[in-house]
Amino acid sequence: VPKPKLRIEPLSVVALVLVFLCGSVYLAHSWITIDRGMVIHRLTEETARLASTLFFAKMTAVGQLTIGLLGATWAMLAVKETKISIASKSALVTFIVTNASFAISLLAYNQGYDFIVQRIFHHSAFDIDAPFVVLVNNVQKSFFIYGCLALALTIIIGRRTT
Amino acid sequence: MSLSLVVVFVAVVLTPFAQQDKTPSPQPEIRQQKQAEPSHTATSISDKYSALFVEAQNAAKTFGLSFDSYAEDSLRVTLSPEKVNCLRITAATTSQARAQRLRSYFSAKAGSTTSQSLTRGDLADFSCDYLATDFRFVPAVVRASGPVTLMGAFSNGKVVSYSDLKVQAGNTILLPVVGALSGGLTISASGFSGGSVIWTGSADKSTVDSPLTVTFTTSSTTEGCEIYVNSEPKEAAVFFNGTVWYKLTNTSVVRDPGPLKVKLTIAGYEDWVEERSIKAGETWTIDAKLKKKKH
Repeated sequence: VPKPKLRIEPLSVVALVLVFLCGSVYLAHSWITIDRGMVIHRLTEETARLASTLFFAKMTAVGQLTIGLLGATWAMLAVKETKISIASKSALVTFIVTNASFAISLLAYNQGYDFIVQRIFHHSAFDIDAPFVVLVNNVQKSFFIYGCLALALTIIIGRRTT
Repeated sequence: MSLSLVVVFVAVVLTPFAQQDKTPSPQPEIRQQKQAEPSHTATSISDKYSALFVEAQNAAKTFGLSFDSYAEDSLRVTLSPEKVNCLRITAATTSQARAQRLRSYFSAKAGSTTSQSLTRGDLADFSCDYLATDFRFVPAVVRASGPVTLMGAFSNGKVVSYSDLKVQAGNTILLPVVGALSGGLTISASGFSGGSVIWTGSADKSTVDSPLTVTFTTSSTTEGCEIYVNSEPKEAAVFFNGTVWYKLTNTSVVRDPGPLKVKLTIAGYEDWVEERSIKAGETWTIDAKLKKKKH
């Protein structure tokens, strides 16, 4: 009797889902419990102003890229002519993880952006090292990268062989 | 038929600002807000007014007001604005004012001078165009158990009362509402942090056709509070509500308002702890001198 082949595909999908779930739970816990305080670095200082400008520019760039990739992900489902098919169960799971990761990244971007802008508006202060600012930055980046990985896996699993 | 100057109406709103936060503050430099000294403010209005209805009220006391003179050309009001630092008086002209524009809106600061005369130069333009089509007088009583700023009262998207009134905790104001209330009444407020605000709407059914709906909506403020933590000696660890802050003293922080417990610790010294409730927009400066531990 020939030995059954080691199936990489289901294992990778399971790992992808597990890591995503663990990351999401950790994120949710951090988001609720983290200290939202900021050291008062007045934006009258040129360095603080420049730091906030660059920080927002980077956040926005990642956010726009995320929206672009999210659109590309859905294009695979909407356009039949692509060489990617979301037909199998594995492809569907990775597709969902991709969407969820990008969605969390965008949500973190949106919430964090608003919060920081409110602080700047009311207090003319910005602190790039504040725990909440660091968390927002990390969550946005991490889930963006994870979404890219999940998207890559979706493409690999879903590519048409014929 | 001598339909002389018939009493029409007037509205009044009193914003009692007297009550201040009595939370003990460790900082001597925090300024104590001045209490208005009991004084008499005379308000002279140079126009043809038939009537002036003034009512001032706060949670502790209803203020007695008296009219010194009552004439076509001028009107003088004398009042004892004890614990009042702002009084708003609204006057109308004749009985035809129902279909006319509200003429004047005066604001008198009590306590600033013993006698204050207001002229037409002090006239502030109050949103009163809605009087032209309809008129309703629907006082709504608001009691605030927390400080709140009433942003305005609206009906069908139109302003029907004063806006930007500050109500201190425990105080009560009488809010006149004028204009058509066909779409119900919505009152919005901000700066509300804890406690409750109770609105009571009342109306004469003969003048208000549609059922009156009083809705209170709060729009939470996004403003935080600023805390400056200085200690002697420096480089003490700071805990806000039990969570260690990532910077040592001397440091500063802007954070969400609410109850706050601050603890400072440093090796060889006794812990310094203080607790207080801090409001949005407030600044708390801590100058802690830590005592050495006794061996």
